[in-house]
Amino acid sequence: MAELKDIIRQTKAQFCLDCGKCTAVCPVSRFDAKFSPRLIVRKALRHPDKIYADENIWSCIGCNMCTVRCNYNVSYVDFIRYLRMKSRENGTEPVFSHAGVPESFMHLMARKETKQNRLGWIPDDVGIDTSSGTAFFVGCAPYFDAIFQDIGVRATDSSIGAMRLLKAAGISCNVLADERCCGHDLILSGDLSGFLDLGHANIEEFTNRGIKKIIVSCPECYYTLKVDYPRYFNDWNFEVCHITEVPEISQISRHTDANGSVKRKVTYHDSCKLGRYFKMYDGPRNLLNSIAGVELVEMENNRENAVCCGASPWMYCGSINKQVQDERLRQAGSTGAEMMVTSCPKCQIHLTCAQKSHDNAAEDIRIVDMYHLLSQSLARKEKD
Amino acid sequence: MEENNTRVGVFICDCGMNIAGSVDCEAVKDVAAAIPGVVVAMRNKYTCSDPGQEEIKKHIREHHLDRIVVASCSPRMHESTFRSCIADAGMNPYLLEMANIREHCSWVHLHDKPAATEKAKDIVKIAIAKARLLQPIEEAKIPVTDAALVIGGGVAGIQAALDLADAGHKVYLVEREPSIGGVMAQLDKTFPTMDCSICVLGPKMMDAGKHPNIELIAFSEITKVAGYIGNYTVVINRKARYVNELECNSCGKCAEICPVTVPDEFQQGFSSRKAAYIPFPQAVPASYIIDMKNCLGNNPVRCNKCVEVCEKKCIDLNMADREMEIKVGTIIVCTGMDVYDPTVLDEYGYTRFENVITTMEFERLVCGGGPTEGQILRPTDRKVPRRIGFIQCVGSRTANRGNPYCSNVCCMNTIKDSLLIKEHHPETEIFVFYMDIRAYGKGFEDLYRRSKEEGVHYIRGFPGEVLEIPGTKNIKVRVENTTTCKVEEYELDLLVLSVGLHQDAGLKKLCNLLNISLTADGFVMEAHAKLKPVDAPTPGIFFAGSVEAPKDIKDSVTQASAAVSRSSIILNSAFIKADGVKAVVDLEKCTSCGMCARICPYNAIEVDVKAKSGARVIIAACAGCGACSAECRFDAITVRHFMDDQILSQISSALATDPQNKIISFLCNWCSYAASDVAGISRMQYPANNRFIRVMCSARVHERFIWHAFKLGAPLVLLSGCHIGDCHYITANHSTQKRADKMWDAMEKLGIRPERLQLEWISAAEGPRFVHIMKELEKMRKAVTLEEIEYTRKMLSSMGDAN
Repeated sequence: MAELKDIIRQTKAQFCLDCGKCTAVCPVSRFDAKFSPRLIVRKALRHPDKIYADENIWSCIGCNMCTVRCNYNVSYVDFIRYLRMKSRENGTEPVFSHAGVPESFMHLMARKETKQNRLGWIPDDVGIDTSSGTAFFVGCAPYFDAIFQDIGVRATDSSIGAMRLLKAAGISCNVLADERCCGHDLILSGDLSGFLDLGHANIEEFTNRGIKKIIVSCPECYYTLKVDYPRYFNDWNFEVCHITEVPEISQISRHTDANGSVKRKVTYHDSCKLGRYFKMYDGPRNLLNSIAGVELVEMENNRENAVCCGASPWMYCGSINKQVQDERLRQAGSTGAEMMVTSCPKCQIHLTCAQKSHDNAAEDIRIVDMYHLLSQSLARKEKD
Repeated sequence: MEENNTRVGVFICDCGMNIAGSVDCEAVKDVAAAIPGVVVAMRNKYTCSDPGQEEIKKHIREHHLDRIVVASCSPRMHESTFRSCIADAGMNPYLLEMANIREHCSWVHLHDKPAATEKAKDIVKIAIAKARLLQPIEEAKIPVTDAALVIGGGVAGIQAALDLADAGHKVYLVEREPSIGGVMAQLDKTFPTMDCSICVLGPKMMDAGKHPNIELIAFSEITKVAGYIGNYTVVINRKARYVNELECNSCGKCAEICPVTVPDEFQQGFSSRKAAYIPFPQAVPASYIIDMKNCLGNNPVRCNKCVEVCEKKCIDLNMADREMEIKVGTIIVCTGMDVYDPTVLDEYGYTRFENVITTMEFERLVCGGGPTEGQILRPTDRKVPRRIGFIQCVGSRTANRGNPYCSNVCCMNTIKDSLLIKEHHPETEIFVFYMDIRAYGKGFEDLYRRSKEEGVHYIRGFPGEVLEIPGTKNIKVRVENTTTCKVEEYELDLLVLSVGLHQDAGLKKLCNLLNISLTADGFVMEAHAKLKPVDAPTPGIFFAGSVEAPKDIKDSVTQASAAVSRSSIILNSAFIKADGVKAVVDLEKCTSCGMCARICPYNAIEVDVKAKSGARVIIAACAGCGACSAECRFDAITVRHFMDDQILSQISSALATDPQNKIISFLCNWCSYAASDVAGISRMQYPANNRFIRVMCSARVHERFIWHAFKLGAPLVLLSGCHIGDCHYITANHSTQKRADKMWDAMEKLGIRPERLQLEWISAAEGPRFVHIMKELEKMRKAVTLEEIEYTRKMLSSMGDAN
């Protein structure tokens, strides 16, 4: 593993001016007075021996707001990821949420011997093309279905929606029978070896199936495959593309309501990865606007300023995360929209979980996945 | 070879024990005396002293010497001393060559007297070889036009113009806007004195407008600059004002009647003006102007009201731009700076929230001549704000939208603003959000203390987010107070962004016209950051004020007077003498290919390629780097005092004995040679196998010098110069890099290991690094086998005269 001084150089941590902008915009700092991105870096630089035992390093939700505001774009998230890796290396065990189930199944997938039965959610009319050199990657989606049944979120609805869109656009994809979790959550929680195992298994699967190009819809999978895999794996040479980047997708024609437009107000929640990290703000909005009858309204904090869904890599999920989620739900409610559209399965899961765990009538907004919504509008058109 | 009948005198200095302590000067003297052409060789204890110099003059007269070698310290130390000495004895000052046996020898080989002595003998022989080929040089006299051009009429330009005019020189003061005054005219008060800005500037503006020696050319731009120091020809475009500025008496009737209203840029858009307007009441020239872009048109059917109502009949809507040409001896650039526009920082809400303004806008609000007549009222409801916040460093000290540097004046400006607010409304709560408070100047810390005495709160931390509260339109900021490590929220009535400064948008174009460079920060580059802060590298051009870097009024005025002082050195003489080291063309060999003109960093060579006019060197503009000479394929251009035969003779002399044990190093005068001197002064020790050849610039080193060294059996050659970007001759060392690349390719093709030619950029401060490189070179030299050297000699000899 890299040394602390290498990480400092890579993340530009020594450029920190201690101006405090990062803390002022951090959603966690808002509700947790002890947390400050710059203080973590300061403590790490001054007391490297003590930092790994500091519990604050587990509070970051990885939204990147700090880096975007920082005068020198210091990469706090990368820094914290490194601290977590070192901390776990030293034996720290984080407290996992949801009884550690997501983490466990990710580890199961990391085992080479694991043979999965994971394609059952694909409807017959959608189908897959096993000879295609392009794969549509779904990662953990089938597993999330099982875990989050109780809050009514089916992550595979998003995958199915995306696959319907790809089919309508004339792009035939394979969905691999034995792909694994991309590893985003494991590496973000500091489990480097688990991540590496998953990566190796995935690379083997892609290679064996003759895959050249990978299309993803989940922003975290996109980030992991596009940025982290080349960083950590020398044998990674697959093309990775986000579904909104596929040109044919944006040209899918609209659904026209027969009695003229019935206006549906929706608001779009930017995912931190797709938004602040990759700066893809317009692609999803253009797609939503292409659904006739949709009136897109923006929340108070949108695009670069969007509030995170409060995601954590399935650990230490607590009151701070809930408060961040509440803030986002409140903003969504204030727009008067009937639905909040997400483009990330995590956003949908976390916000829905927060919504369901409270008794807040004002937050009675439907949280709908974008690809599911788009594919539904397609289906209606075909019926016409 | 021609008969060389020169009579050389060699003077070897003991320098007390500095040289004699580690070099056997007697032995060196004996060797020198035996060299053909040397008429007299003698030792002296302190050659640079009066008695020492008298000795030299005595020997010149007695022995009719016509070439002098002084073996002592570095030429960077005493070359000018000894040049004056021999000139005093009636010799041409350029017939002197110095042998550096102190910084390059006695001081760096303190513990090996035999090796130091052998090296000293070599150094003296090398100097004698060059001395015998030196030619007398007459320094050219360049006539000077006694006039100066000042570009920019802000406080720096006004000061420069007045100083020059008072000193008796004719000044052309060119200003882009309709009135002089610049940014200072827009300020309310100045720090730290809290003077009224326009009250202080106004009289100076009037003086500049009235001075018999100043020709004020307002509302005009420079379109062409040609020439060189002492002799610039400048073309100015005088834009049409549509008002005869000499006749206009500022009655204001045209503005009254004009039907067009547009935002007033002087008032930062807070109020409006007419298309017929005067920039501000104290404008100089005190004339109105028609803003033709917004004027309805001069067709009588559409409008013409201003013409009708003007009693003095001084409005001419058919006026056209006019060109004028002037001749000046020097140019002073004072074009100032621009203010950062924080719109792109949307987290601060500028232009989205009306109660977020910039410091420049605040300046107009608080100014008596401003849109609110000096009342501090906030934009949304014109109420007096009770809580005002300032965010510092907006657009400065950042890599994330904005500029990386500190804008110098914003801290003091905010402190000043806080005191102004307290003067108007003592009960106002003021919060300054800062990273550092830079109150470095005279009286600055006092002002800061006064501000704190008045109860202004200084909070260390920048707001990450600015929100507008609907209804009241108050501003809410969230900030981490980094001294208490707590996130705090403040509700403010008015938020002022303390914006930074950056170059004016038109600067790049002006710099292209003047052939001066900009630094990475976008401001003009000085000849030397410490010792020549107001000179441009191009001789005859100076600058002052914020065009060089953001600065306050005091520093701008100081620089203006400094630039005038530098400029006066040139303007005060009818002639200036050009240094003798200049390029010279052999027209018989010149094919007018134009390569020299293209490579010259100073545009000092004129060639008409089509007409085959032959290259012509503009002596005044030539800096003597020699890049042209190394580039020329036809041996048609060389540099006086560093001619090919002179340098080749140095190399031959150096390698006459034991070539396989010697490394030839080309050092550039300004950087790598200076570094070698620093190493010597610091008494750093390194192996004695190096022989240094001094050139003014690394770009002077022709490939043939390097081939010559290899042909004579040198194992290793070092080519060194200034770091890229720091070259004393602006861009000349770029051609050094290209030449090295070419040489490596050629060496490889010939089967010669390319590593035998080393290229190192060494700055004048890098003495220790120089020593490290010397040690590394010695290691590399040891690894070069005799077979390789022999192979190289045979290969190059069989090829005949290389290149």
